Amino acid sequence: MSPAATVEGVWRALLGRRVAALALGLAAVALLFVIDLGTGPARLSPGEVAAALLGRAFEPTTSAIVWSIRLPMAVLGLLVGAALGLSGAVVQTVLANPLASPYTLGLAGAAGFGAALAIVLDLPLPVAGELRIVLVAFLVALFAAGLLLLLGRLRDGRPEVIVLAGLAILFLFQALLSLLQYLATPEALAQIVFWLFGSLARASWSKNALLAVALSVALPALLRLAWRLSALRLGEERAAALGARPGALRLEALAWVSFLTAAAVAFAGTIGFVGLVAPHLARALVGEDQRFLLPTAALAGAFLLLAASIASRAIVPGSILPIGILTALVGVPFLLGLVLRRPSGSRP
Amino acid sequence: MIRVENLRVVLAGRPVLEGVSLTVEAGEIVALLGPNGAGKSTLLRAVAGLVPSRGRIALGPDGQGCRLAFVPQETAAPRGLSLLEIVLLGRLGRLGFAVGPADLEAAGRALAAVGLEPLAGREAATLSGGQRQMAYLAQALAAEPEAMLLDEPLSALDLRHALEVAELLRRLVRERRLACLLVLHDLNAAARMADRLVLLRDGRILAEGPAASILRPHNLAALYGIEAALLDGPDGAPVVLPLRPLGAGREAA
Ligand SMILES: Nc1ncnc2c1ncn2[C@@H]1O[C@H](COP(=O)(O)OP(=O)(O)OP(=O)(O)O)[C@@H](O)[C@H]1O
Ligand SMILES: [Mg+2]
Repeated sequence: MSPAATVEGVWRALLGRRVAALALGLAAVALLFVIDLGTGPARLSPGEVAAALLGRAFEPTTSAIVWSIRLPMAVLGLLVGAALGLSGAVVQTVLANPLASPYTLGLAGAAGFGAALAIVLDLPLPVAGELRIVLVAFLVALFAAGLLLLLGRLRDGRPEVIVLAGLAILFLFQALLSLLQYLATPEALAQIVFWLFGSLARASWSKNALLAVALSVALPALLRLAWRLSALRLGEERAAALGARPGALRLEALAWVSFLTAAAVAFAGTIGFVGLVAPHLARALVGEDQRFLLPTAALAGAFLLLAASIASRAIVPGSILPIGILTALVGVPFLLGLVLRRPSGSRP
Repeated sequence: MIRVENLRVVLAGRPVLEGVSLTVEAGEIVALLGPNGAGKSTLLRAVAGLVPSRGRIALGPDGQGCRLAFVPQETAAPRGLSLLEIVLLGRLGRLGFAVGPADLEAAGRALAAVGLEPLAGREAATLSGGQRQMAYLAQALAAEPEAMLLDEPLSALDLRHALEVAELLRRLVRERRLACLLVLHDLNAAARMADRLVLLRDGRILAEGPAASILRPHNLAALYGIEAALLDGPDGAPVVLPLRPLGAGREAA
C-alpha cells in the first residue's frame, strides 16, 4: 500500500472511533434525559414520557407534569451541564492543568456574590424577582472575567498568572460574600445559602432560551479554535512554533469560557465538580483532538448533571435535594474509575 | 533563505546573543555548534520569532518571509494524541476544521520519509524517545517548509537512524531548495551533513566556514575547552577525536 493509503486508513479508523464515542455520549444523554423526565413524585415510564413529549399523553396531568414542570428543569440541567463540561475542557487545555475547572477562574465566587447582592440590596434595576438575581450574578461574573482577562493580558496570557488571578478573584468575592451573609437578615441569609447550593428548580423557558443561545454562540466559536487548542497540548514553545499564538489563544478561549460559566452559574447557582470531571471522562473517550474533545466534554457534563438530577429526586422520594450537593456524590465514582483506569494506558 | 544581521537578544536582563550575523542560502545546510548555554537554541528561537530580538532577520528569497518550520530541542509528547495527529498539526496554518486529502497526503509522505508510517495510529506518548524525535521532524516536513530550524535533530537517534535522517535532510534540502539551520553536538555528523559550520560561544560567533577549515584544534580548544585530535576521514571530511578537557582553560573561563 502507498503511504497515503495506509495513513488514510489509519485516519478513517481514528475518526470512526471518535464519532462512535460521540454518538455513544449522545445516546447516553438522551437516555438519561428521558429517565429524568420520568423521575419524581409521579413516576412515568419512558413510553409515557415519549407520548407526552409528542403531545399524545393519555392524561392531561401527565402532559402538564412533563411539559411545564419537568421539561424546563431537565433542559436547564442539560444546558448547564453542557456549558460546564465544555468550559472545563477548555480551561484544562489552555491552562495545561488537569485539576483546573471553570471555577478555577473564580467566576463562581463572583456570581455568588452578585446573587447575594441582589438578594440583600434593593438595587434599582428594570427587572424584578428571580431574573434580577440572575442578571446581577451574571454581570458581576462578567466583571470578574474582565478583571481576570485584563490581568492575564498584562502578562501575555501566561497560565500561572491566570490561575493565580483566578484564585485572587475567588477569595476576593468569597470574602465579600461572607460580609454580605454576615450583614443579611435571617430570611435573606437562607435565600443566599439556598442559591449557593445550586439548583435546577429555578428553571424557566426564558432562562433556558438565554442559556441555549449562549451555548450555541460559544460552542462554534470554541470549535473554530480547536486545532490551535490541540497544538497547545504540545507545549508552549512547540505551539508557538506551529503558529498557534498561545497567549492570544488562551485569552480568546477564556473569554468564551467566562461568558458561558457566568451564564451557567447565574442561572443555576454553583454546581461544582461537573466542570472538573466531565473533561476527564471525555478525554478517556476521544483523546485530545479538541474538535472531538470539546463536544464530548459538553455531552459528558450534561450526562453527569442529569445523573445528579435524577439522583436528587430518587434519594429522598417526594423531595428535591439541591443538585449542587449531588453532583460531587455522582461525580466521585466516575473520577475514581478514571484514576484506577489510567495505569493501563489510554488509547487516543 | 535565512539571513540574520547583527542580532542581539537579551533574556532576563542578560545578553544571550550579541552581534550575530549569518546567512543560510536556499539548498544549503548550516550547522550551529557550541557548548551548552552558548545561545544556539536562543538563536533558532529568535529566527522563528519566538523571542524578542534586535537586529535584522529576513526569511525567503526576497526577505519578505517564507514558510518556516522550527523543531525545538525537547521531544515530550502529550497523552491522547496519535502520531498522525501530531504530524498533521505541522500544517496548523492550513488545516480546515476537517482534515483534507492534501493534508493527509503530506502527513503520509512525511511519516514515510522518517519511516514511522507503520506507527501512524499509535498514541504519540507511547513512542520511544528517538521515535518521538523523528515524529517531530515529520511534523516539520508535513508543513512543506521553505526553511527549517532544527534543534539537535539527531540527539536521541541510534547510529543507523542518525545516518538515515542526515541523508534524508541532505536530499530534501537539495531537492526542494530548503534553507536549513540546525544545531548539532556531534561534530563528525556536522562535518558530513552540513555545507558550513558556525561556531557559537557565549552568544557570539567565533568562526564560520566549511568543516575542513573550521574543525581545527585551536577552534575546538577555544569553543569547548578541549584538546582534540583531528584525523583524516575516509571521505575527505575531518574526523574529530576528543581527547581531554583543557583544565586550565576551563578554570580561567
Ligand atoms: N527564558 C530565558 N530566560 C533567561 N535566560 C535564558 C532563557 N533561555 C535561555 N537563557 C539563557 O541563555 C543562554 C543560552 O541558552 P540556550 O538555550 O540558547 O543554550 P544552548 O546553546 O541551546 O545550550 P544547549 O546546548 O544546552 O541546548 C543560557 O545561559 C541560558 O541560561
Ligand atoms: Mg539548546
